Amino acid sequence: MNANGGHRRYWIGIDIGGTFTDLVAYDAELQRLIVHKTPTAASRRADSVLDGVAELTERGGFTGAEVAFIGHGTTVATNAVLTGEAPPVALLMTQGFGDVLVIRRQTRPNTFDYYADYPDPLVPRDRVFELRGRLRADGTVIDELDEGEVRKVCGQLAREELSSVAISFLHSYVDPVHEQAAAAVLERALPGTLISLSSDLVPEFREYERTSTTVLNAFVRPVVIAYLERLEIGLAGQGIKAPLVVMQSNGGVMSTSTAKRQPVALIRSGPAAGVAGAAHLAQLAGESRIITLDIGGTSADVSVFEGHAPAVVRDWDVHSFPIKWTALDIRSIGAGGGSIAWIDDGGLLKVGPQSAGAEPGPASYGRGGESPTVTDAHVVLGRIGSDSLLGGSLRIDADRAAGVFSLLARRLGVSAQAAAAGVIDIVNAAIAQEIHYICTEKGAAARDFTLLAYGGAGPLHASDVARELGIPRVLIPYRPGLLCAFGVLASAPRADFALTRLVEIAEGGDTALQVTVSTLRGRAARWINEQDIPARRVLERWKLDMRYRGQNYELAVDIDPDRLDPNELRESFHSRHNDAYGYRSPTGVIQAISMRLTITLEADHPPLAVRPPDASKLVPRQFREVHFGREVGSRKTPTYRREEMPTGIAFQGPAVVEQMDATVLVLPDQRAAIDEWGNMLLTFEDRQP
Amino acid sequence: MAAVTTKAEQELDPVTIEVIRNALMSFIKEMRHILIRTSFGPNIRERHDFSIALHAPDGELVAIYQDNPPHIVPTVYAVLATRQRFGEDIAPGDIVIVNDPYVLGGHMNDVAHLYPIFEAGRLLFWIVIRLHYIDVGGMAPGSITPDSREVFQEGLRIPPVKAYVQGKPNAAFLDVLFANIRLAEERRSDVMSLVASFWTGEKRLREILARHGVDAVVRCGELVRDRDERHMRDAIRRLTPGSYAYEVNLDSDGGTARWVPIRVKVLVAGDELTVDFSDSADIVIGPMNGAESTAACAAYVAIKGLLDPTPIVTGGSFRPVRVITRPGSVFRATPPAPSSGAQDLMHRATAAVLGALAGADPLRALGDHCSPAHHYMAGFDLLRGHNFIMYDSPIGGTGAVNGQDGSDVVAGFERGDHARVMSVEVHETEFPFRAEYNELRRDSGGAGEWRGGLGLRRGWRMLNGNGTVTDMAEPSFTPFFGVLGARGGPGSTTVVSRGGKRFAPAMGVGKVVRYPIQTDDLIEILKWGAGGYGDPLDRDPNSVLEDVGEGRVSPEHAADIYGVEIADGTVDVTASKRRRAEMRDRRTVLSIAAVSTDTVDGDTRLWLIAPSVAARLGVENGDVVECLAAAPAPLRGRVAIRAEQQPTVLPAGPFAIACLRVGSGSSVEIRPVINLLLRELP
Repeated sequence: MNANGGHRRYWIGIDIGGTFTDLVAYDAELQRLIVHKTPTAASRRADSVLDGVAELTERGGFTGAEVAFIGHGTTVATNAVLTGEAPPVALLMTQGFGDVLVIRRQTRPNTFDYYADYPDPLVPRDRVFELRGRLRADGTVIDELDEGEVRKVCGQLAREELSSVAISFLHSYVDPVHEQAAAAVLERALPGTLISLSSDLVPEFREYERTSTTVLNAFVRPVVIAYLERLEIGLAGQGIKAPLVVMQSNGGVMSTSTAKRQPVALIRSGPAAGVAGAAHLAQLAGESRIITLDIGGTSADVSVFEGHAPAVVRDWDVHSFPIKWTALDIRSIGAGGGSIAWIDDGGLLKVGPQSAGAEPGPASYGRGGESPTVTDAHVVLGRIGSDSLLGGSLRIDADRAAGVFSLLARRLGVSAQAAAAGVIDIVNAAIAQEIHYICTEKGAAARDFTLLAYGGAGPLHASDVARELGIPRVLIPYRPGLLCAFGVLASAPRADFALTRLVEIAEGGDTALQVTVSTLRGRAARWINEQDIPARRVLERWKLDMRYRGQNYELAVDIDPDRLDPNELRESFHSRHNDAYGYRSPTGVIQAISMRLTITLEADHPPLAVRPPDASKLVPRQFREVHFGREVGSRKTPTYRREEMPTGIAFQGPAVVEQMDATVLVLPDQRAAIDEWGNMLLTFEDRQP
Repeated sequence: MAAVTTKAEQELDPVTIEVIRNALMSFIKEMRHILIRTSFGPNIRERHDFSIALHAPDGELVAIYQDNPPHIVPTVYAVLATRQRFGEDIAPGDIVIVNDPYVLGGHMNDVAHLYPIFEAGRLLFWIVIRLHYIDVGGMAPGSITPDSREVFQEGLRIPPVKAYVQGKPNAAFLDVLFANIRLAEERRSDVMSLVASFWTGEKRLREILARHGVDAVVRCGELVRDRDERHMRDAIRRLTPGSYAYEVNLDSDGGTARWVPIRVKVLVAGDELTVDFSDSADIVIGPMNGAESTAACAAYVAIKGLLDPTPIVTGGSFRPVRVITRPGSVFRATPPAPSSGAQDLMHRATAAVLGALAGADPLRALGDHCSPAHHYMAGFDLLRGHNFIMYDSPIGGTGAVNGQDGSDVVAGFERGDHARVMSVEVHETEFPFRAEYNELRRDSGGAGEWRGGLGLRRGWRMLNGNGTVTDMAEPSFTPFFGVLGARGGPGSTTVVSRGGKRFAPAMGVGKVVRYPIQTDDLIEILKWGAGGYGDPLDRDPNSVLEDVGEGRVSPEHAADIYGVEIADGTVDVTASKRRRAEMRDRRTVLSIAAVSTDTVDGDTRLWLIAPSVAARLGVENGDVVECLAAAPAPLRGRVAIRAEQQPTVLPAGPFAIACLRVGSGSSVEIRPVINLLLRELP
């Protein structure tokens, strides 16, 4: 079905954060954006989304039947891992190795700190079941799986009502036969059990990381399935026929059928949506070196990328559980609008990681919050006005903010304003440090990048952070608070597949590689079948991880699966190694370890262009005292409405720009200009942009 | 160091200092990354058994990343030795290699590589990579061996030598090196990746220098060290001033079954600490000898963990600490004394300092903790047709602390990112062994109100090959100590099963020395658990129940050691209460009688007790007992039954009295040290 055809012309993107649920609808015919933002009810996330969609369609004056596409970025999986709130899970492991999750890699979380410890494994020891059946490293069988033993375990699983099961056997990446046989017994004995196989999810060696990923999948699966099913039923009830798709950690979307099978792909769904949106905007704006800064209610997420594609990682961790899954390289700092300011034993001012979240929220929201938060600090400093948020539907109580800050200030022996400025300084310094750190890691300097700030609070902090890092340009999207939701619209279905097969790159070695190619093609075909999204074209990207024999980490080299010439492969590896590490080993034997395939389904996306209004003059709404930190102090500052800013206009700071989804702070020494896409570009007077 | 320009000083605000400091850590991180990614030996790429550090020209440590302090702290001595040897004769592009154990105080496998960074003729920094060569030659594959009696048997001893001269390899030296070590081809490749890592490191460091200015970066390094010094002085000032003592024994020097005592006195005065190891054992005939750097490193890491437990380490932290060693002692080995056990000596010396300082801050006392141990399986792989050395480092748990159980199978607090356990799947891909199990060793966590972490039980089946197994674990038999009444976990050993029969090759001196293994043998490695914190009878019975439910503690152990009776999956409250009361009543408390000298046999502490006390404790002559008094850590000795000894009195010499923090007439509990290891041996 052609998404642009008929009367289905609305593209909906949704992002559910810890504090707010954001929704955007893009009208592909009139090229207009309808936006909506509603507080997230932590206890009933699916309902928050459904209510939001109903409100959005009402606001936009369209019906569910007119929806062409509906995509969703969600923190529901991450949240289950962080809080541990999910039904209990079982792990089936090779006999003798049931402690794989406890043993980890023996390494410390922190040198010198006696008290440093890891969170408890997601599966405690008494829910790990060891089974006979053992393969050699080459995949040949030493001991057969004992199906009778598996059936016995089924009895225990039933008694303990363990309905999600992870299966991870040693060397299953070479041959999944035992894992599949155990799964078959489980399916027969306990129909409906959710089974996650390590050989299916991550057929790569190193058992701890593979098992950890499989267990994460099993752990979040019941939660994700319940959530998605509730959403799907609710959306159908609203007459929406377009299939729901969800954002993955890798910056692409996938169908809910895939999400229910591989929910581990959702761990970084929320932040990835924002970065995908940022990448789209950066491309439109012609920016190729971007640092993204997304500040929401509970955290600040940062990524750094050059070129139009955000960087990806394959080995990372969530809540210190390792995960082997392709994801955008995004780092999180525990500081957001809802982060609570407090005073430690030594009398020092600290911010976070505790957050007031959406309930009760910052003190100034008047929903029962009594702790001073970062948002309250902005209110005290005059940066957030009383009716600037959510188009005035969320009233800001400045007196409450002043009240909680004067209590904090008294304990510090300073004015409320000084305490509030201190809180902002601490948050900005933490963010700047993380950005600096990532840049150094990539061998880059922050000053050579443009800072793209979004999330409800990103544009309040961006300019100070940019100044600290010497970043000359700050780009604020037209709808900064809704960029994650917007990012879902910009994303195509994407999946990453990998298979470990040790092959020496020599004459004749290409036959083995060919087998791997066809195995990966088979797995990709299954995935493509699961996607309900109309695609114009299937894009394949093939990589081969290679190393010199004796090394144990690989370098990825782009390959053409239909042209696997050993001599060419060897030469591309030598030169890749030389680029990465400064030398080549001409006599070294080269091994291929894993082959990787990335599939992207090019969808019929609308151009997502937004037209700012055609006004020619900019009139301040009001003037108020705004505090710009210790060095500058307070200034009488004009406030503007973002919606009234036409393309091409430029003005001088200081200014506060208010909009439904965010507040933008323009420093006194900054100039602001609106580009043709409605983005606001901030540059410092004394620096060359 | 010469005084620094006031200009740089004025320019450096706290944010800039933080930025430069982070940059210096980042470039080390990047060098680590390259080394891990490109190195050829599994010991580097899988176990991360190496460290990288930035040192000032005078040797003081400026920055590390996640590197391993026991590797890094002694490299200061390598810089000093290099300066002494070469003076001004150091040029850009030189790489100096040194592994001299009398300098570095560790096994010779931990080779230090020093790379100078110059700017306009001025030496700014040394980048040092300390990297564990799987073998440096000598009598045993892996070079670390309990039966060495001379340093010459432990491999090639390298005083400071230029391996690269102004960017060019010193072929003569490298040829000699590679002609004298096993798996030389692998090491040749590793030297390539090491050099690449230095070159990249230099490039990055120059970027940092260009960005912030040479003076600012150098000055930042100094300011950070000054700050760490102030921080440490403040922390020392908060300790209760006084003198604290403790004694820890190695089970064996590798050659004899006699204990090797490490005795330490720590003086806390004002904002300084003096750590005096003078009363420790004389140089031993086996490899458990070290250098001054062994003692200094042990003292520094213990004090850092206690007083400033952040992963950021610079030499500034160690300025307020003075370390004293005695010539002729194990901490001042001289040629040709063997010293491939120096790392084990260092680890036990760390425990000794912690035991002493527990008296200064009992709330921060730590149950004795575990170190990585050296297990070598070496031989010929019939299937792959080559020699192999498999260096395995399964580990114990961490010590319990006030309010928190220890972690299972996690390296001790002073360890950086090294001693990772290798993936079983990787092992099996590369070596002629198959793992039969890799699991927690039940009941190995030292019992206490807070339980020590459990150790590992790992079984390797040999396939298609033959060779030997070596185990240097220290302590081997005697459990680690618990604090404030807690117990320690069982000792560590290797058991070999062949044709259904089990052998314990470590019996005797406690170390396994190249015990022959062959196809189908099962090599079972049992690792220690760590010490607990607080009286086991004060542990919440529900925590004991949970431990039993999760299989960490057996029901028998719950009853015997914790006094918790479990029936039908719940705690029998009445029976447990009664049992705990009985256990408390059965404890043996004696009265201290101060005597003029400590009673020793050779250098082994003896506790003289009456026959009736021995009967009550169920011990015989030579058994290990421990005394508990005001000091958090227990003092151990061997039983000597004396008919003339009064049954209510325990004679204690001056060192014992200092350790226990008691006086004449004080009460002291004496109890046998329970060794669960014996239960697991054939």
